[in-house]
Amino acid sequence: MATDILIAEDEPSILEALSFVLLRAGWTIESVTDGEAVMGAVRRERPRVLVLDIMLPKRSGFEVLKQIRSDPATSKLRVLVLTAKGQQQDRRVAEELGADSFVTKPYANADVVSAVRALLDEPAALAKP
Amino acid sequence: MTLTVDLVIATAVAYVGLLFLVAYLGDRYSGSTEGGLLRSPFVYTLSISVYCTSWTFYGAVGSAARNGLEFVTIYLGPTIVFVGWWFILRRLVRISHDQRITSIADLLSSRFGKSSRLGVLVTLLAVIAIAPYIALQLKAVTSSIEAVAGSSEFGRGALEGWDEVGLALGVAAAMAIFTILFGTRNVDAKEQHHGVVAAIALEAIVKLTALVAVGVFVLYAAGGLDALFTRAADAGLRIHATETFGDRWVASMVLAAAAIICLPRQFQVTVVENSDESHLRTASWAFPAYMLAMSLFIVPIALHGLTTMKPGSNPDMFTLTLPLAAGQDGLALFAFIGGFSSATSMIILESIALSIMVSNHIVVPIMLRLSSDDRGSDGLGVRRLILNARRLSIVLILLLGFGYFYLTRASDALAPIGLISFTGVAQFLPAILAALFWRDASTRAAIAAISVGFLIWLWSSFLPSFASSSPVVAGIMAQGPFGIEWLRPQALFGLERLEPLAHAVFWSLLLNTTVLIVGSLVSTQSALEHIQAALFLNVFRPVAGDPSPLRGSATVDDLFLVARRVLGHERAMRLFAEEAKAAGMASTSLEPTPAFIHRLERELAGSIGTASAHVMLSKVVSGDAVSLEEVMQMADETQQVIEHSQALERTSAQLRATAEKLEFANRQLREVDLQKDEFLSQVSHEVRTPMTAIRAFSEILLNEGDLDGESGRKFVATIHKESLRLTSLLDEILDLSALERGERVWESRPIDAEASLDQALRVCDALARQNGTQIRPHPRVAAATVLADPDRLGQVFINLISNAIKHNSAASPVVTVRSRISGERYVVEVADNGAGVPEQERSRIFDKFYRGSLGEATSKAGAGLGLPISREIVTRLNGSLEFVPGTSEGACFRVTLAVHKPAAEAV
Amino acid sequence: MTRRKIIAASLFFTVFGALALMPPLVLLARFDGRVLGVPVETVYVFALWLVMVAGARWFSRTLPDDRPPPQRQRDMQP
Repeated sequence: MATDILIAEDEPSILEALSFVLLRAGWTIESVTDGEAVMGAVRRERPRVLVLDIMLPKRSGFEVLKQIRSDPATSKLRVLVLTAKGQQQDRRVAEELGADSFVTKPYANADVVSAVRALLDEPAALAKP
Repeated sequence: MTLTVDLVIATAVAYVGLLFLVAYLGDRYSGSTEGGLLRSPFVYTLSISVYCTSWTFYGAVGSAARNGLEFVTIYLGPTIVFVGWWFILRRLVRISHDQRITSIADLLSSRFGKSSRLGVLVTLLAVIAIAPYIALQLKAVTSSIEAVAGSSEFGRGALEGWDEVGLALGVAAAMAIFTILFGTRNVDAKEQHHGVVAAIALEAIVKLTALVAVGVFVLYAAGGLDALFTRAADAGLRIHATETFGDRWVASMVLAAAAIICLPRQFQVTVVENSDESHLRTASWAFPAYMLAMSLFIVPIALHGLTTMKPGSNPDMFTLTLPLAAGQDGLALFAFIGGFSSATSMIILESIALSIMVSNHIVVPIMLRLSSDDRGSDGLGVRRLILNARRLSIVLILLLGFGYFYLTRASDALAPIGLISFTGVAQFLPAILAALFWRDASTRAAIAAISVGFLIWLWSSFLPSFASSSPVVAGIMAQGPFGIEWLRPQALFGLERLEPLAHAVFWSLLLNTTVLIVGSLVSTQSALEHIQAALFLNVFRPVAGDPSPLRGSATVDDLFLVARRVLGHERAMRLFAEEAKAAGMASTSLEPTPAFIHRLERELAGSIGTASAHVMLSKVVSGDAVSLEEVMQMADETQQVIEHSQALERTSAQLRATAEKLEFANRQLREVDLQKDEFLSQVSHEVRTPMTAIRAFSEILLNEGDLDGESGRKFVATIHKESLRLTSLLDEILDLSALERGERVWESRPIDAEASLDQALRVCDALARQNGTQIRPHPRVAAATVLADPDRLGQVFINLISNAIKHNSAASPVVTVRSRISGERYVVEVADNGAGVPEQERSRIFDKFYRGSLGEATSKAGAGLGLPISREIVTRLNGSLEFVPGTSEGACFRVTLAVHKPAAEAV
Repeated sequence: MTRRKIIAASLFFTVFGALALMPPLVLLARFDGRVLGVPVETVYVFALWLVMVAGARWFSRTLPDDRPPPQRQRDMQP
């Protein structure tokens, strides 16, 4: 079974909360905790959406995003970027690199869910269990 | 034609009228093309021939009759000076043009710091020294008229009842009127004398032609040169056998050379009236040639007179009496006019030159002193005053000449009188030569030198000329004053061997020069002297701009008022209009630049002399108080250039340094800015991360009603943990900022640092075991007493050790903790075997929130405030915390603290 | 001749002219003799004088021209 969402987030607490919320929304998820692991997981799991933190260890979210977009196999992947720094600068860089959507920390869980849903092209009503 | 006194006087008057006409026309056409001839080098040369006065015309013949060839020295001296024009005269002319010099007194005053005192001194002495010379002219004219009267069978005519003295007085009065009418129509010495020069040139032609005519007549009458000299020899006239080439020869040659430079009228015609330097080039040979022509017939005339005239007749009048005796009345009249001509030209020019000196150096300064502030007064006042002063001084000068004539009328020879004047004015020569060639000659020395020379002249040359009319003087000359023999005027200090003229010349010039040299060596120059000396010496060096000692601010109106008072409205207007035109602006908005003030000063100097112009402008140019350093800087041209380039160099070096500093500061600022941005985003990140978790879990707890108890408890625990993390982050930030501001105080006391280290190791033990890190706590010292707060020191150690554990990425991580005491210092090192700190990050590891590229890779990294806090603490313990570079692997941090000495505390 | 040499020549011409007119050199012409009836010493002095005039004339044309730019002339003319 294909994974719906891959989460790349290094903070355990945040990862736990995200996983919980997205699982509850009815999607299947996988997670990685550093930048280097993202590409492998993307190729392996073929997720429909990637939730990507910018402040990742070993390889930053920007680098990961750039790699994804430059690889034909993954270039169509929908990417939701989590920006902890939240500054305009980060957001603009991510946009340049081809991020599809943004959520700024600290976020409301509902925002993340609706952003992911929009990327999955699922009407909110249908998604509701 | 019969020659009567009346005819002679009528001819003289007619001649004067002719001169007037020439002068008038000369003035009128001097500016136009027809006036071109007036400015030719030959007119210039002829005007210099004013040197040949009636002393030449009559006296030289007398001198040749008495002393043989000696008279030529009077012309050979100037010949040498003119042949060597390149070395002295050219310099004088150039300087005088550049500085607008109006007279010999002005020249000396200008060179010696624009000294008014020197100007006054030179003027007074010149007036006194010239008096005998004027007297000589009066005597010559009077004698020539007497000679005509004495030979005339028609008696004294209009002169009936006039004795010699009355005649001389009449001549003097006529001359005064004549000179006033001629020479004092305008103020500026530079502009007014074209007419006079033209008249003088005409007179030069007249006197030469007259003398040559008499000479040719004599040769004709005597039957040729050979016959003339043979007859003289036969008559026992051994005029060539006298000791011609002795000390007197040398002395009078030196005197004549000095006189051609120092005589006020010679300075006037040669230097002041010179309109083109190249004229001097022509005069350098033409003037000697003129003098040669004048001298050619002197000896024949003298010899012919001695052989043919009856014994006892005055040899001074041979030029006139020989034609008279031969019945050549026409030639005699011509000769009379020649002699009259030489006398009048001398008197006119000499008194004009002297009157300029008197008005510029005595009257104007006194006037300036009396009227401290009369700038608002009538603009014509000064000019009228100057003109009146000149007129008055002309009368005074002629009166003095007449006075001298009156007192010495018993003496008959003309030539010695002239030499007395020469000796007097020669006293200016050392100062003039110093002005031209010696930079260090000082004003005080010049004043002293001229005074000393002049006193000796008064005593040994001037005083003895009264011997024939005053028994007292004769007594002094024989026995010395009060019987003091070594003060006898003609045997000073017992020097009896020298002939009187040579004696006076020797002593006066020797002491004069000595005082000048020694005085200059022992005195110091003022700033202004320094400047003027440099200007005089560097006259042939091209200068970029004249440094004007007068600097500061003045309004154009003030300057114009001053200019109008001196130059007259028209000339002042023209000057200002020219300047405005040159500056390219309306004359109303003219800026009084230093250059303009300087030019104005020179223009004024052309009218009223350097010193007076300086004083006058100083009054309106405020801020004239130029600092001494500034003036000195301007003074020496070379010095100035050197300093200028040095200053430039300094300035550019300073600029470079400043630019570098600015660039550095800018870089730093940019860095600080970046760091601040980074700090803020770090704080934001550090705060946001726990906040995100807290918010996310609390939303889950709020929204998800069907949570199992286990999950709920776990989420609450996470929220609690994250809130604690948030709290400790805030604590650290506050702690650090308090430390940085120096607010946090704690009590330092002697403690055992090793105990703190042990405590830290215990705290970190759990973390080490969790990370599988081995801690090697050796080598260690047993104990080390330092002055510190145990908790704070422990905090530092814990931070270092935990960092070493957390940032160690080695496969089998090891952390080594060492301590030692080296000298008076206690050293703790915490090292790991991890990847170490990359070179480019080492300078930043103590920055706030800086965790390094590797630090970011570990989720266990703290907020990045541990090291900054630790360093702050150690610094406050008067120790140091540093990263130790050079270790082969891993990172090593070193804490150094001073070992506490109980003894030191007791002190 | 270079400019400096001409100036030096002019200086020496002047100096030697002066020396030749003073004792002891002038005493060399002091002997009994006549030229065209004129005593030798008189002839000597006047001849030397003539030589100096001629020399000065030569130098006046040879010495370098170093007049300043005729800027001051303007000031003097009305």
